[in-house]
Amino acid sequence: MEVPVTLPSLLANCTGGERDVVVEATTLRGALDALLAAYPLLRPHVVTEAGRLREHVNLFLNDQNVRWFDDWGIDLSPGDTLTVIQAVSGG
Amino acid sequence: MSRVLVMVGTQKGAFFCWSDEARGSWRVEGPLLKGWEVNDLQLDLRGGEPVVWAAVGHHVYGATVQHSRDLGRTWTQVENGPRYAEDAGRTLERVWTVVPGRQDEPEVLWAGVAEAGLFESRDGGESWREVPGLNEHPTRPSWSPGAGGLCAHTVLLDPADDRRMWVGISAVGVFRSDDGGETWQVKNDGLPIAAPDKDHPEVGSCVHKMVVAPDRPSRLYQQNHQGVLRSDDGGDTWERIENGLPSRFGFPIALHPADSRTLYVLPLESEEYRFFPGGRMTVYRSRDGGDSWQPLTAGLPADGYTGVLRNAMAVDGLGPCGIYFGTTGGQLFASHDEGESWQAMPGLLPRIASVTAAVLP
Repeated sequence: MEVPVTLPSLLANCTGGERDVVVEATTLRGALDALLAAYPLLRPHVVTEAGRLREHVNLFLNDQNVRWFDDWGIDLSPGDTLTVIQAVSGG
Repeated sequence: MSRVLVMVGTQKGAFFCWSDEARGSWRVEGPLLKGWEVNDLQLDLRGGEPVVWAAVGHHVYGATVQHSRDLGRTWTQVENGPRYAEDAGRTLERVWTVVPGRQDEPEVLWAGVAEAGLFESRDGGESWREVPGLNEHPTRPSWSPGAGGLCAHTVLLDPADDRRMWVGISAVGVFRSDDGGETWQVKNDGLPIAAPDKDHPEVGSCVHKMVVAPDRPSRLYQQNHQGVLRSDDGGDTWERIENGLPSRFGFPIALHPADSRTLYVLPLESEEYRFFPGGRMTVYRSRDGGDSWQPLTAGLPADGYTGVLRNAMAVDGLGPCGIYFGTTGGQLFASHDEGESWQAMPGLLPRIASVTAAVLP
């Protein structure tokens, strides 16, 4: 299943200038893995050395922040979209 | 006629300032790497064609190394950049410096990072590996971060001995390798130790910036959190050289490219305030290896309540040498007469993290 992913403009240098990309995946975890496999330059910007989301990076599945999901293995549905976005932090 | 390039790294991108040998007027390009914190920019001419290496980061998106092969127009992120192992329990918080290796090893680069560590590339920056002799040093359990974190910010290569190099780590001290980076020794003898550790009392000196004399490589100078110091034996011992300075505190130190006795510092008003004493922006120059200091103020503001960060002062290779520094308030200042007079360079930039200067044919 094709999953659209939207990235912040600051990271477009990691995807050949594209803010909107598409990955093939059936689960949330699979989509993140596919994104980082397809665009390896994104990896240090999105996840830590230990593979967790960076502290101030949010990943939204549609309008839900996946940071609060217990299970990233959940199935995706047609029409689902992912968005990588900077957390609102600081002043 | 040669071109002079002053590369400025800021909190929100890089700016390249171009001039000719006269250095009377400047053309500013930027922001390059727009939105990224640029902690260091180094011009690498070893391969014939110029390559600019950038230590890049962001408080949200983390740190990487980028390079440009067209003098800043386009940039490429290194794919397998410095990065701690998954199980290391350490985080790459910032790349502080990227240092090209020696002339006869054009594929070698070094990177000093926070949390403190040294990385090495032997394939022209394509891939990087940790330097375990330093990163797993026996004193490592006693390394404690200072206010700026635990950062390996300075990497120096001995210009005469291709096996010798130094690393400066804030709140830890100076390390020297005499075998190309395999093993490292603490070189803090004579340096102030901020808070001696019970297990390794030899570490805990907060070196802020360090330089090695190109014409006399046994001579090192450093601006420390607690003073300005000199070594004449490759770091084995250090002595204070603060006679005439208004403050022991500051960040950058720069050395004349052709005279190991002429150096420049920018004292700040104590660790509590970190701006120019009384707001009087002043560069201090020594012509005698630090035994005495002369204040230089011509052309500099008298109301300069700002500071200068550790990587934000540089000299070019011309004669008379040019000196450049950038402030946390985003202003650049230049002298093309070895510090006798100063001019504000064009632009009001974001907080300036680094300044490097180069001369291109």
